[in-house]
Amino acid sequence: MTEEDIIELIKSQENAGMEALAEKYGKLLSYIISGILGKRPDDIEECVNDTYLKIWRNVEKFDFARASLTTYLKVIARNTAINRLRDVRRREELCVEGEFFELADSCADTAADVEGELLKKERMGQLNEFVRALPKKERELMLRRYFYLQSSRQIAFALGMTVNAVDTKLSRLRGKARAALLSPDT
Amino acid sequence: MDQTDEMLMDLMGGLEPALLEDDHLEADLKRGRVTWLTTFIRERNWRKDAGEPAQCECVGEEGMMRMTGAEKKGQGKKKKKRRVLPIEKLPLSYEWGEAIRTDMGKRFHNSMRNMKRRAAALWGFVSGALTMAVIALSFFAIMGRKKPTA
Repeated sequence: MTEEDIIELIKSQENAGMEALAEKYGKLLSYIISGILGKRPDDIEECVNDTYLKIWRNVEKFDFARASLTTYLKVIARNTAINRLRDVRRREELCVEGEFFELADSCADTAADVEGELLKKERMGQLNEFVRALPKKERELMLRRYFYLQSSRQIAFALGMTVNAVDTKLSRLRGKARAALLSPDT
Repeated sequence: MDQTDEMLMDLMGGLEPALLEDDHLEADLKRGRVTWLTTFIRERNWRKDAGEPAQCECVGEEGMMRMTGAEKKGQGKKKKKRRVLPIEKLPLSYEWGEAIRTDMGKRFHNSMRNMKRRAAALWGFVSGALTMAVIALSFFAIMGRKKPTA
C-alpha cells in the first residue's frame, strides 16, 4: 500500500488505514523512539501508539505536498518521545545526570517564557538555514545526533566511522552551529 | 552536555520537515543480519588491529584501514602484510548489533554448558556401571570360592 492510499484511508477514518500505517512504519517508529527512550519497552510502545493517534487526529492539518507521511511520522515520533522522556523522569523521580534529561528540562524552560519563544523561533530559522547549507554527510551526522538523539557509538556503527571520528566531526559541527546561531549580527 | 548541545537538540524539534526527507534510518533497518555478521567479524578484526599502536592507522571518514608508511617501507617485513579492510556501513544500529552479539554468545555458552552436562552425566553413568560390575564380579568370585562344608 502506498503512502497516498494510507493517507486516504486515514482521512476517511477507516481502521484499515491505521493497520497499514502500523504495518509499514511500526519498525521505523520503534527504532526512532527506542533511540531516545532507551530500554523502556512499555514507554516505547505507548509512544508509538501516541504517534499513530496524533496522525489519526490531525491528518487533515498536515500538508503532504510539503513533506511526506514518513517525515511527519518521524517528527511526531521524535517530539512525542522527548515529551515522554520528560514524563518518565518525573514518574521515576530519578536524579540521574543524563544528557536527555537535561534536554527535557531545557525544553521545558525555554517554553516557559514568551521572550524565549521569540528568540527560539528566530534561532530555529537560522538553524534551518544552517542545516540546509550543510553537505549531505554532515547533515546526516547532525540529524542523527541532534534530531534522533543517537549516541556517538550508534552513529559510528551506522556510518562505518570510529567513535572518535564521529565526536571530532560533531565537535566541529557544533562549533559552526554555535557561530551561526549566536553570531552578533543576528 | 554543553549548552550548545542542549540548544541544538531543543531547536531541532522545529526543523523543517523537508530537511528530514532523507531515509537514513530506513536504510539502517533495511540492512540485513547476514551482512551485519560479516561486517561484525571485520570490525572485530579492525578493533584488534586498532589495539596495536603505530602499526596501522584508521582513516575514520572513509572507514578504511591502511598500512602506515613505516610498515610499508619494511619495518614490518617479518610480519604478515595486512589486507586493506574496508569497514562497510553497519546494517543495524548499535543496540541491534549488541543484541545479536549477546544472543550469539549466549547460545554458544548454553550449548557448551549442555555438552558438558551431557558428558558429565554419561561419565557418571559409565563409572557407576563399571563400579557396579566390579562389585558384582567380586561378589560372584567370593561366592564361587566358597566350598560346601559338609
